[in-house]
Amino acid sequence: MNDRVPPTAIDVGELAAAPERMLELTSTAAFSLPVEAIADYQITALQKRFRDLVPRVPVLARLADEQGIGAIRRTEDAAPLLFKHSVYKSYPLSFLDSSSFGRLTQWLKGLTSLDLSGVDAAGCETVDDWIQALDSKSELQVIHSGGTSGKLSFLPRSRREMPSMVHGWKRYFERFGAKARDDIEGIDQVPLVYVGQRRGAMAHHRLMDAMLRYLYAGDESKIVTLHPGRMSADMLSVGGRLKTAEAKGELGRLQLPPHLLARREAFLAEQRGAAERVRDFIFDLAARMRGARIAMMSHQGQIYDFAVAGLARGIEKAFAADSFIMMGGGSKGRVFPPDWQDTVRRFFQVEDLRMGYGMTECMNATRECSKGKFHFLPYVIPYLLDPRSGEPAPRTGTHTGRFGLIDLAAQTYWGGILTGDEVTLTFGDRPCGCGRAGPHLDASIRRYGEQEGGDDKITCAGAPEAHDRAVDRLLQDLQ
Amino acid sequence: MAEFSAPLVIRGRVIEAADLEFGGRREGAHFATPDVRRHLDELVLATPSALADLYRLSFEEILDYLAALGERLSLSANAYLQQAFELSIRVSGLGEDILRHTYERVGDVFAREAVREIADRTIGIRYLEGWVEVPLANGCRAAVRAFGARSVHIVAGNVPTVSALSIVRNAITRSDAIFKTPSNDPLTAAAIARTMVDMAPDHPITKHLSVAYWKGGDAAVEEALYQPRNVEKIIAWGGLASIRHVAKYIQPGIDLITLDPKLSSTIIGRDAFADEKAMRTAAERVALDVGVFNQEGCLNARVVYAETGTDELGLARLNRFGALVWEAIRALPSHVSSPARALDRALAEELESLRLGSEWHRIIGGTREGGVIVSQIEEPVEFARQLANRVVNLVPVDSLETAIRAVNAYTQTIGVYPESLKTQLRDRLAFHGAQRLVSLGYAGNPVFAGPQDGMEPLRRMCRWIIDESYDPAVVPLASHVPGFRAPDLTGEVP
Repeated sequence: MNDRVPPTAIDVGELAAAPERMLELTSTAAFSLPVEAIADYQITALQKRFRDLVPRVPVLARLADEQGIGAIRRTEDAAPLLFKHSVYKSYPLSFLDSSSFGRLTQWLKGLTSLDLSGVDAAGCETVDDWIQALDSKSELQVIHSGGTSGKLSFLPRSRREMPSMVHGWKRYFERFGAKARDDIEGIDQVPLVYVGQRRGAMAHHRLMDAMLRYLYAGDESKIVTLHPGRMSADMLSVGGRLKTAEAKGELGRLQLPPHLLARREAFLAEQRGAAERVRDFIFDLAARMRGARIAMMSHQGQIYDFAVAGLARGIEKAFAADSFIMMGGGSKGRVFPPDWQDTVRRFFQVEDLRMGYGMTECMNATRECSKGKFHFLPYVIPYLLDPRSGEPAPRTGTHTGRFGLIDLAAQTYWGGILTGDEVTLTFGDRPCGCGRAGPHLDASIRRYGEQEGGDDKITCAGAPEAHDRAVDRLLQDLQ
Repeated sequence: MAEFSAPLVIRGRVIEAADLEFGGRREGAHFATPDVRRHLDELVLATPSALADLYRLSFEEILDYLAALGERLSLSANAYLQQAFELSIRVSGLGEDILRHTYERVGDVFAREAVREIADRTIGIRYLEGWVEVPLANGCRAAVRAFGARSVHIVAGNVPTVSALSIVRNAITRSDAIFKTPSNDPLTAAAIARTMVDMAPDHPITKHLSVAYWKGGDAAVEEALYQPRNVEKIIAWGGLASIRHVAKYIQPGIDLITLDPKLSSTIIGRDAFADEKAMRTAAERVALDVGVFNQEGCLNARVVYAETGTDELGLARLNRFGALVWEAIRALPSHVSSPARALDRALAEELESLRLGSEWHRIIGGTREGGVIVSQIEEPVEFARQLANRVVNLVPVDSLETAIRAVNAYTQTIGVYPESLKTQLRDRLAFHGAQRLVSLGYAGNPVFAGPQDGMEPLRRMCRWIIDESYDPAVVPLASHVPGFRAPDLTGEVP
């Protein structure tokens, strides 16, 4: 994929035939497209994806059939076609315990347009084995969640979407405006710092692999990680189940088969001393790359903790001011001091500390604009649903409700997803103060579970414990 | 402005001036209540000897009081109860007809013979009425009596009967109770308490009941209250969240009795699937255990293990059975069970995802009327604990062993069918943790005069006091025994 495509080289007609190429336009170019052109692109692209995927993705076909949707005429027609997150974990959990990976492949076939007939999962004992079998025998690049709900979800992304993820990475850092192109000048030379394992199949790992290929021309030295090894899906699965059971006071109820129980020790060992290892890593990095430009995928808590630890060590201005920091928000209940940004700036020296918002199911994350809003590039069609009735809100004005989107860059799986987030969405009747046209979200994003969790409702039935059905946010998936 | 007001009732005094508001559940009904933090001094029974007035009552007088109270708890005549009912319609998951049916029967809990049976079967009236002589083999003449205790009841709100039953338990044990009401039912206990105040404001039973709402975990209230000098027993219904607040105050001197949340299930043997007629009978019974109280209770069936086998024939049988269960759920009369306003959103999404994504599950229904998830593998769905709104999961098993092994300490009721199977399985089920076995279709008829959750909460609510009398002529003083040595732990006297 060639990133050097000038914005004018792609016309909207071409984009409709290859909707994922929208990500190749700079943010300024994409957000400057005329409203009618974006509307045309979106409806044409949506129709194409629907037409292409319905015959090949059985789960989509079933949903469309159930909803009586044979064709899409208007954008709103697709609102009932947003997948619930749970569809990506609708397999029986026992398949993992009993190593029934042939059946897990069969399940996954329902969600992808790719041919998985070459995948022989019979010999797989663990999820890691299975993912590696899929990697080597198909085009799939499955992305699994962090398993914090106790069950891994599997999003069947593929090699075909990998370039889009890399374009998305670049788009994240571009500001809107004439010289915005300068923002990412040289980004292909800036090493990526990731405080985690180099390998694995979570969104970060897939992005790193894609960056290695499409951004860094195979130069592995551009990727600096805490650990060269692999983030094990099995370990996350076991860890998630243990933690979930513990949080519910049901540890005694958890039954794990012996081959997974063995992972428990590895999981606990991994947890021990993790905080110290992470701190040493960042100190070492600050020494080795002093004043250099870095790129980093992280989240607010981690960035802040690093800054505090670094400053306590007497380190200031550790990196270049024009470094790239992708930082997920969502404090998960943690309260940061009002001057947290000053603390972070003193250590990192990075000026731009705007928060990002994204999710695994969407090709790229987006960063707060200068007016504190989140804008999605036109390859994303946003939807807003009533949290109770599921009815879509009218596509004008400002509404608060449950956020859904269709990612038109998804080629081999259906890009429609309904998040668990409550957002306030303005359907860009007028451009935002930052200059971008199109819809945008207010920064106040909240998970639905947070308000609906039963705090003082007492019942004798052990059923309605708040269940974390997180749409695992791309930026918070660091374990 | 809150539409409902939950008064504070403290020892016969009703305090109505509400100064705090709390949001209710689901439909967002709000209620206002006086700030209990201003009344903490009156709430606690400072001197334990103040229980003495209860001991001037005979057990028959307690029965008289409760029976009279029960008569005043008629929904058509009692305005307090009507208000509790109105609020429940707004916040409860139970339908109006079920709630009416339940509130109309709240008074029955206080009926003389029912209360007598509870007291006698679960404690023994003579232990409540006086000192019971217990001759011991070592020559000691012991006397044992069950005394009341200063207690806090953290009551569950999913079914109003819990409040009524807890008031009965407090009265028959001659205890002092402070009720902490739940946000999903802040009014039922208060309604009964106000009726008591109207009926007999100075009666010791009235004086030994307080009802308050505070937000669970409010340290200003709980730190002051949960002290051994104020409280001896805490009876806590509810889940981890409810217990977690209390647990940090537990210390020697405070006994915590937890009535944890439980889940219930069903085991159906192969005979029930012999033919269509047999299946229909079993399906009706399953529907009752699923649907009663709209599946809001711990006793409701959520997972049904069916010994149909997992081969093609077995699955076909189970799928047919699923259709019959669905039919039977929808046919339940409205005073027993009713459709939800809407299927729980999270559950609806799980059902949709299974329906679309899994060939190992069949979903029948899945609307506000309920639904049946028929597993096509020998395994319940992972979200079984979330099943609500009359949605049940049928799981085929080749052998009942699978069903038995699925039972654990979190299992409360197991409905079993056919009847003979229950006797055959009951010891095994008990070993695994089951606490109540019941004929299929009767899960919704709990026995109040028996054990609960694998224990005897009424006996635990009492302080069991022993008075040991020795006659030196029978048991010589130790100093008079040659070669005395301390008795060993078996209690044998040398």
